Amino acid sequence: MVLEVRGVIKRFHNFEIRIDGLVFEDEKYYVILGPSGSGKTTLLRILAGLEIPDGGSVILDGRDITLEPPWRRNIGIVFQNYALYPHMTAYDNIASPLRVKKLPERVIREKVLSIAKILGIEDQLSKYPHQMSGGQQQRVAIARALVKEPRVLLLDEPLSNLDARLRVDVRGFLKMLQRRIGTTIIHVTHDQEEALAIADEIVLINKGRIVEKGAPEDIYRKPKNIFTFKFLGLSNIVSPELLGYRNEGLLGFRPEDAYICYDTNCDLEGSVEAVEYLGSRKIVQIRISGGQLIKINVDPENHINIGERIRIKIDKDRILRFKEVPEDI
Amino acid sequence: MTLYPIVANIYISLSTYTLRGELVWVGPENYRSIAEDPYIDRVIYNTLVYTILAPALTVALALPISVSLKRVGSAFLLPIMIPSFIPAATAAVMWYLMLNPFFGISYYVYQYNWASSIYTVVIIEIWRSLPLAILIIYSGLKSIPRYIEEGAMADGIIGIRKFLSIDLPIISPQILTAFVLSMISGLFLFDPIYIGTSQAGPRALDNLAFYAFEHFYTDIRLRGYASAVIVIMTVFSTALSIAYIRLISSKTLLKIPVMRSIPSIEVPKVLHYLVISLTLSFVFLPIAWLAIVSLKSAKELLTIPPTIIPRSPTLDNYLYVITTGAPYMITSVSIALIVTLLSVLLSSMLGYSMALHGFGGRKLLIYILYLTATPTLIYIVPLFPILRFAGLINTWWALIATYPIMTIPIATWIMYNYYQRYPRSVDEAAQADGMNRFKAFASIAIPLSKGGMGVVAVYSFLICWGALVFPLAFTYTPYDLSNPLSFSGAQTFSIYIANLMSPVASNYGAVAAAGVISVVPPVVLLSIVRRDLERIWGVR
Repeated sequence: MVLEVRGVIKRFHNFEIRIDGLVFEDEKYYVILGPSGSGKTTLLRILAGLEIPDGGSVILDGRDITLEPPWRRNIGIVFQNYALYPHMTAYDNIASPLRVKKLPERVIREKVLSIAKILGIEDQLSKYPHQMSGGQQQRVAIARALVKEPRVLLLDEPLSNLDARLRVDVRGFLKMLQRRIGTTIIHVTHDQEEALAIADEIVLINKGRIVEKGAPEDIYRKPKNIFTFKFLGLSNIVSPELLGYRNEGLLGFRPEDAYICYDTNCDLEGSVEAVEYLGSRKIVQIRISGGQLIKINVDPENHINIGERIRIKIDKDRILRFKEVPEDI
Repeated sequence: MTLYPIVANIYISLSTYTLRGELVWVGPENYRSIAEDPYIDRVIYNTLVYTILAPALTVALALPISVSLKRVGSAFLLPIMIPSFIPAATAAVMWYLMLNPFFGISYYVYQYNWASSIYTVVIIEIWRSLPLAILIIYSGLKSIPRYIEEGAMADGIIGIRKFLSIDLPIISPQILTAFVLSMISGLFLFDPIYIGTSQAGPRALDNLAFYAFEHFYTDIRLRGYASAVIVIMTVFSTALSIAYIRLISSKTLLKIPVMRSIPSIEVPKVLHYLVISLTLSFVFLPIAWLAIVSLKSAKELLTIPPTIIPRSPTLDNYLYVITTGAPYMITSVSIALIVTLLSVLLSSMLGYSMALHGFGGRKLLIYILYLTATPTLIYIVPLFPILRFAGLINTWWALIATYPIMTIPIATWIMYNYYQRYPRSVDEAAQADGMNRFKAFASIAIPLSKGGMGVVAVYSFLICWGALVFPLAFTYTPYDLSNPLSFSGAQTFSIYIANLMSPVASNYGAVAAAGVISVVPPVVLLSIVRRDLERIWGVR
């Protein structure tokens, strides 16, 4: 166990964050996921010491650091806009945490070069931030945060300033980097696909509270909470009686767990309202009796016309049962 | 800190000093004597002219000039801004030299002795306060979002109609701000009256501010009376300051009814150029005349009609100023440099922690804004006994201790606004890198804020360079060069200029040379920081 949050409360005029208990273990990649305004960035800033909580404590390696200012915590942070010092070269940017510690210049040089090598920016070290691309600036920012060998590395929306293609590359790179250096990473994002792709463990937050925590496959396949189910990926929620179950709570299934059915033993029937071609699959929206829209995945080669009546069958083993009524996300 | 001078003024206004310097309680006696004062009617009349008429004219002129400036481009803004940075005493001297019925250039236009007219003071005040009014209104015009301009264009609303129905309502807070600031400046108008009185004779030009100062200055027993006048003025100026603070954060816009008959026609660009050239002539004519007079020999100065191009240009006047003015100049430059250094350091630290760490909250911000609109006059009566007690009267230390009152508020306000655009995450990254807040400021923020600090340095230096009220109140001899380390004797270059202008000296050639010298720092420094200045003014 590295970092622990106990009963942390932070109040704003019309919003409150309350994290009762949250533990980050050694050498794992955590993603804090939540919609905008859910309090995820504030949680990260509390961990970094940039915000002081109104109550509760933050514990690093068994030591209470709640009131410790950022400069005394052994935590690195990379900001969304990288926050490089514009008047310093990449080398000086990376060296700055070491210079504050007054290490000898020779040691600084060794450490900067070795972290630059890990991040693949050895050839960028003499450049100024404005001479580098966004991706390169980000690597410098990560190097600057890692060079002091922090116990925990915090990443605030690290992929949001990169274009779509680069995002997938950097995603893979971050995961690989974490495996290589072994530091605990806590990564904040609102992008569920990014979270599923990269996390060892996802912490899902909404309205200032932890909704669910778990490995990506568990949290996607077996969400305990209807918010989690709706927030991660595409989802269908129906009343149980539609599928012939006892009418209690709600049922959910994913588009990939339903298929077009041609025999008589089908679950639902409706007319096709929209077809989205996504290359590797098609998403078909079907309006069933009662007016509800259901999304299912279909083979991209399957030709389906709008207005066509089709029947579908749902994989019974994969249907999820929720007790509560959903709230809007 | 702010309350002290106000409370002290109120207390002193209810008392009187004896000749031995003891304060004796007299109750509302001083206020009663104001009512019975034979001069008071004239003084109040003058005050009203300076406080209402001058600002009204200033804003009326600033509005069309700002509009033209927007059409012809911001390149002319800096030259137009120069008068507000020229020492007010120099500004007054220029105009009196120009309007002299025999030796001034006005000989060719209209031979009238303007010296005893309060309208000369009004013109000088307009010349000095017009630039700030233009700046405020112009930056308001510049901040009108592009989409509004384009929307109006798409709707076919252009020219005069667009100005009345779109621009004017949007910049109405700026117009009122300019008016209120000019009113505060007019209410406490001092320097031109000080210079003018030596030409026109006592009481002709007095307003309440000058009248109070005269009582403070001439006889210690009248200080209670001076305080009473200042207390009354403080009431009005506080009301104006509150109006100013409200206006600067105001979002409400005036609605102006626009008549249908107003055409949607663009004004020809030539007209805009004409307005700007007239403005530039108004700005530079007195400066040019000052330079011309400074090159004339003593004999040529007294020829009638006055020569426009000096027949035998000479540098004698400059030589005279350099030899006799040296102690004044040394004092002015040194004190301006020391106070500038102090102001830059303090204001950038304060502005930084206010902007990035919310230091002092909204209260401190409003307080700083209030101080920027507080005139120096209200400090002199309460500060005098303190400085006297500390043995600082007529030393450099008196000025070093009091000048920051003028520079720190405006400097902090500028730095606060400058750091509003500083990325917060850079400060936070520095903290995460292990720097405490002070170190983050010192090693990351300072190198990144050279622009803002340069502008603040220029503002501070020029405010000190042109100061007149504090040195007049707290010093009485020039710097004692025979005993330089005593730092005693602290009359400034502004006082030197005023002395030369007085009827005793009336050395117009030397006055002009000294005036030209006093104009050099504003022109040079403003040109050096031009780019950052325009960025901070929001016109770039």
